[in-house]
Amino acid sequence: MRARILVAIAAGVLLAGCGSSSGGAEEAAEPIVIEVSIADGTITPTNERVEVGVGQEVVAQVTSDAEDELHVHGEPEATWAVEAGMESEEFSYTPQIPGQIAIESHGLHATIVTLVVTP
Amino acid sequence: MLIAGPIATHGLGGQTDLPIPFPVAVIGGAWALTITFAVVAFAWRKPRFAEPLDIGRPPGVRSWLTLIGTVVTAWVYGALYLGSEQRQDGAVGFFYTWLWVSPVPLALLAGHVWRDLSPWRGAQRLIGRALGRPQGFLRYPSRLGYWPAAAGLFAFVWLELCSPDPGAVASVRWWLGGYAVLTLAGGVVFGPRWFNRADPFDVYSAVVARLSPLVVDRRWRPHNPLRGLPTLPLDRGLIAVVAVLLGSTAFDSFGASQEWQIRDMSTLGDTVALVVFVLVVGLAFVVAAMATGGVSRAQRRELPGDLVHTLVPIVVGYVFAHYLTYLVEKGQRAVIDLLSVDATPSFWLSERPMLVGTLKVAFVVGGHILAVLAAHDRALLTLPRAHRLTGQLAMMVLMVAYTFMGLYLLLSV
Repeated sequence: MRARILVAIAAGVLLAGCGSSSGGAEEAAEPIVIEVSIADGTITPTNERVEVGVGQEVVAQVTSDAEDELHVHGEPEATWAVEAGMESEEFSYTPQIPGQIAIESHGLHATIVTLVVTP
Repeated sequence: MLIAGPIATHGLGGQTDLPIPFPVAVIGGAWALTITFAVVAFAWRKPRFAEPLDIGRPPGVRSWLTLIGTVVTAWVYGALYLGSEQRQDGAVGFFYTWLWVSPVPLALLAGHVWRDLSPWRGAQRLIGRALGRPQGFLRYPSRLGYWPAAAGLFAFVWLELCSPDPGAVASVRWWLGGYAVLTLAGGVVFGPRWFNRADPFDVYSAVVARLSPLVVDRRWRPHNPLRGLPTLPLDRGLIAVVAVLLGSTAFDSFGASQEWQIRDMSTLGDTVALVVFVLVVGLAFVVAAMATGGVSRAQRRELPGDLVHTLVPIVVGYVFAHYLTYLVEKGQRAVIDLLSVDATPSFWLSERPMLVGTLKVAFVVGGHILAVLAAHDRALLTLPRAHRLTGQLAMMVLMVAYTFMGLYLLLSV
């Protein structure tokens, strides 16, 4: 297994952006892991910004007590079906084009994280 | 599949641009500021663009363009109401990209060709001829001026930025259905004047066309766009039209900012905020236009109307900065979906964020410079001799404020 950078957003500490910048789509960039938790109708994190390089994989580890649909507003778009009782279920997205990609919860009407994708 | 995000800006979901690079914004801002005050202090002292551009007899309608416009419109409406899911998404995409943004580049390049393209004008001509009433049944009430167009533009930006589900096919069906009925009925009842004053897209195109450097009234005639700009036909509500365009674009940038998103506004809250943006932009302009000495009350009331054309370059620059990648890239997607073909859009622009950032700043600053030159020239014409310099200061400061706000929003979201 490749080592992963854990983004401990729940504590408000953001360690993202380490693997980004130079190199762009090179294989070397390690995946960025975002822990998402949906509990009692609230979602954490919300409105975070995370820097990602083009071609760098983003993995969301989702723990949820409710059904939901997460939308990744990137090119291409992606939808992640979240089911009640999920424990650290992994969803993956690899941005291809520079820009900003919002990952939103459709059920709770909130932006979880915006990926700032730099070349 | 087009996904309606809960707080998707722009109506369409999908990726948005990176913020512009900070140094580019600073350089742009410095240029805007320097040139503005250089113009006030050192530029010409006698009006240069006051002489009205000879417009001549407008050419007749180009029916082949009306045919193209009608085919495209029929295709989009067909896709929206009868098409497959992909074609419906294509129609929604067309509505937010081509219909909303393309009048600006089109009018800059080719003048007010919307007049020829408009299927509604075409239908009105046919129906009017068939009923023996080519000029309609009633006189268009002159007190309405451009207000219906301002209301139509506001209805569009409201759907895009404030309504609960702007990306939904149903929302766009309601909007475009209502627009078709109103535009056609208005045209048949009031004649072609309805399109000149009340059709939001027709008016938008007509306003921007005055800045076209290549075309005068749909005829190829390269000229200084600063001479064409003052020919914008002034009427009631024109300031509202410009304020809606400028205020909504600013609100759109602002609405995408993190500070705004965490507030999670209701539709009503967003609507109030949009109205406030439009009002602030409009009122600030009126106040700045009136802020001069040495004029009578009646003259002072005329000043905002005398100056409103000078905001057009700012609107155009800002629209380009704001919607460039949106039109080019999401526009491709809309066409692909409408035709239901298997193709991938080119992301050539987005793959070059530095180029996009530089272009955005160049558009905003370029629009600003044209606006300042136009306002300076108009001030020389309308203000009393003793107040020619001081009388334009408030407007110049306001334009700098608009531009810095624009740059700040491009920088921060």
